[in-house]
Formats: sequence, C-alpha cells, structure tokens
Amino acid sequence: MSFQLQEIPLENCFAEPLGFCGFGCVGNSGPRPTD
Amino acid sequence: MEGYIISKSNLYKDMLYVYSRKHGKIMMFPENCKDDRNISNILDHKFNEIYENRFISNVNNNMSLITIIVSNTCNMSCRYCYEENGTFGNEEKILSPEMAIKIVDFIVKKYDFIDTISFFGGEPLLAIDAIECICKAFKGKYEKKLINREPKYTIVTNGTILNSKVLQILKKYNIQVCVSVDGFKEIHNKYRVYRDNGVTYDDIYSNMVILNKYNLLKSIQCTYYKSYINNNISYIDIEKYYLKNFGLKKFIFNDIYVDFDYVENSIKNEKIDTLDKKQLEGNSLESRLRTFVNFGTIDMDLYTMLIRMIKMKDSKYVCGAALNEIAINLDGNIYPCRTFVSENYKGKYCMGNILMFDENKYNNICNDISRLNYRHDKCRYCNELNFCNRCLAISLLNAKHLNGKIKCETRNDEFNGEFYMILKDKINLTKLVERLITSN
Repeated sequence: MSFQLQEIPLENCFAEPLGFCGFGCVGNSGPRPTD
Repeated sequence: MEGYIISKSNLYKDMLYVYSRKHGKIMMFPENCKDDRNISNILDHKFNEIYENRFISNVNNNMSLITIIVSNTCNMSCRYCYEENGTFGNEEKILSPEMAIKIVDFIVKKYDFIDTISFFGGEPLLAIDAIECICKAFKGKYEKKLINREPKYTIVTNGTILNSKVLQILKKYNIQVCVSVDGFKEIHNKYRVYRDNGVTYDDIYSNMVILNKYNLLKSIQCTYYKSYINNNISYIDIEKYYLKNFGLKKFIFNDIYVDFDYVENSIKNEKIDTLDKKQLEGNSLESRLRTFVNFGTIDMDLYTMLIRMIKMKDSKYVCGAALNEIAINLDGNIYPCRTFVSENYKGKYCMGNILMFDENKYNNICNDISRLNYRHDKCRYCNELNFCNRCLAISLLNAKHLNGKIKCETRNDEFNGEFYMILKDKINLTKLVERLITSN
C-alpha cells in the first residue's frame, strides 16, 4: 500500500519558546549552568 | 503493534497519529491504511526513510535570534550570579543611543531576515532609552522598506524595574517579557536580592501583576535548586501556582546542581552536589506530560523535545550559535551567542566588531563553531536526538580535556523507552499531540 507519513502541522503553536536559545542555555543573570 | 502507538486524530479528518519508539518521532498517516496486514513493516520502512533524510542544514543569512546586550550592570546581586552582577568582569555601563542605532544599521545591512531581538544584560531595563532607540530604528527601517517586517522583541528581566516610561515602551513595541523569578517567595528572597541585600520578591510580584494586566508577561525563568527538592516542591507545583495567579503556561527552569544550603559560594568553589530532580513525583516525565495535557503548562525543555518529535527534519547542528543566532555586546563586539560574551572565553570566539567589520574573521569563527557543533552522521540513527543537546559554550569552557570535541553521552532509548510506556498505558497520544499543536 502506498502512502506517505506526514508531518503534523504546527501553525497554531507558538513557534519559538520565548527567550529560547537551545538547551542548557540560560537567560539573564541566571546561575552558570553546569554541563 | 509493538513499538508503535497509534491514535485517531480529532483535528484532521480520516488521519491517524503514529508514534514510533524506535525512531522517537510522531507523524500522521491515512486511517484507511491501518488495516494493511503489512502495516508494521510499512511503517518501519517509512520511518527509516525519514531517518535517512532527517538532517537539514539550516545555515543561511537569516537570524532567528539576535541578542543585544543593552546593559552590563544590574541593580541586583544574586548570590549565584555568574555574570558578576551583569558586568561579565567589565566596567559597568549601559548601551548608548548612538551605539544602539549603529547596531541596528549593522544588523539590517548584514542579514536578510531577523526573527527576534532579545534584550539582555545585566538588567536590560536599566537601558530603556537604548531599547527604545533600537525599536524605533527598526521601525524606521521597516517604513523605508529596508526590512520586510519589524522583528519580534523579547526581554529577560529581573522584574524589579517598572515605571510608566518602561511600561509605555514595552507596550508600544509589544516587547514580550520573561521575568526571572525563583518559584516561591521564601527561596527566591534567599538568593535573588538587591545590592544592599534587600529582598525582591514582593516588588517583582507587584510588577508581574501590572505586566500581566497589559498582556506583556509571557513566561518566567526559574532557577531550580536542591532546596526545592528538600522542600518537596516540583516543577509542576511552581507551574500550577503561576498558572493560577498569572495564567502563565511557559516555564524555563534552570536546574542548578548545587546545594546552596550546604555549600556557601559553592559555584566558585566548584563543589557540585547532585540534583536528582526525579526524586519528586512532580518532576517525573509522566507528571509533566499529564500536567501539560490537563492544564497546558509546560517547561521549555520538554516542550522543545515534543516539538522536535513531530518535526520530520532535524538540524545538522547541536545549537544555532553563530549560525542562526548571535549576540552583540555594548562595545559592538559580535559573539556566537549570549553565553560566549563572557570574559571566560578571553575573546577567543569574538566574531569581530560592528564598527570595523571583518567578513573573513566573522566567517572563520562561523566555520569553527560549525565544525564543533556538527552532528556526527551516525547520529541520524539515534532515537534520542530530539533531546540530545549541549550548550556548546559551556562545553568548551568545561571540557578542556576534550580538546574542543563534544563527547556523546546519550544512551539510546533512554527517553523513548519511558515515553513509550507512558503513552501505552497512561496518557492518550491524541490528547498530547493536539494539546501541543494548539498550544499558544
């Protein structure tokens, strides 16, 4: 049977979490993250 | 079907959601294909195809995030601050309006598209004039059709400074505010204090009420200490409190692996204790997923993982530093991201200065960072890639013995094994997916 897996559309979702710059990254004046 | 969870979509007619444990991905397919006797093999094949083609290179001339350090001073003196009260070890100052305008000129000239500008410090609201200059300058560029749209603005603030001028500018340019507040009053006041050691929580709470009234408060950033575990306070306890009082749904938790109650100045002494947040039921994956499905609140780590699970493509790079994000400091120096601004790097990763821009220098650092950030080709077959993330800046600082190479410590199926069991018995896939795609 022929079909394609499809990506679930994300239009209504908040595109980028506020202040997000990746895991382990910190925001303002936070503690120094440990690795 | 072992290894798959399938559920019917409510939002998309005649479609099913399918989660594959082996691949750590959630996709959709037509309901009428489900009864094919080979469906298990077909799904295996289709998911394998996605794996083969999963990596995309997201390097272009668009910037998703530009951090502008508008202040390197702060009116607070948090006990754990790694920025030396925001100064990063430099002279205390705020961004001048002249330099603010030059930074905007540089950004507009250099990049094709800017999604978000993040104001950062120190305490950025000490530099409200510079912030106003930057927003005004972008508005001017837009009106002259030099950019397609004005950037979105965010600010991460300690929440102690809010006067009528600040409020007016935040409202005028719709600057989305994230306040650093450490959960509950007693613990917050112990670590987040003014320079004279005065407590801050009540001032911040009152300001958050005002910001919320104008729909400017979008999230909180909370440092999660071991004290919380000792006091039986989980992520979801904090989420529920701020949902109830402010309607907040997005939470950034920075786990700190140090027991402040036990070791004074422990970061400087590098005495690291273990923070085992899993000790609390409220921090378990199941509780966090259940809280999200039922109440819509979520921590950004989990949120980002879930978003990546439903994305067909993954970035070739561990993070976007220097590739689709940069940071610019008060002197106009350019860095791969805000964490690299620290003096700890001794300028090694400075990509040049906006006033004397050197394209070669900029590109060389970009290339260096890309090489360090590049995922190994075999990573395409790892089902834990969705949350395989390291802060490159911190890794480079801590991992001298690795000669700059980032070691993989991911254990295959660690997350997806648990996630699969939760979806199998405890939480409905459709409810989870549809909460995710409608969350706003």
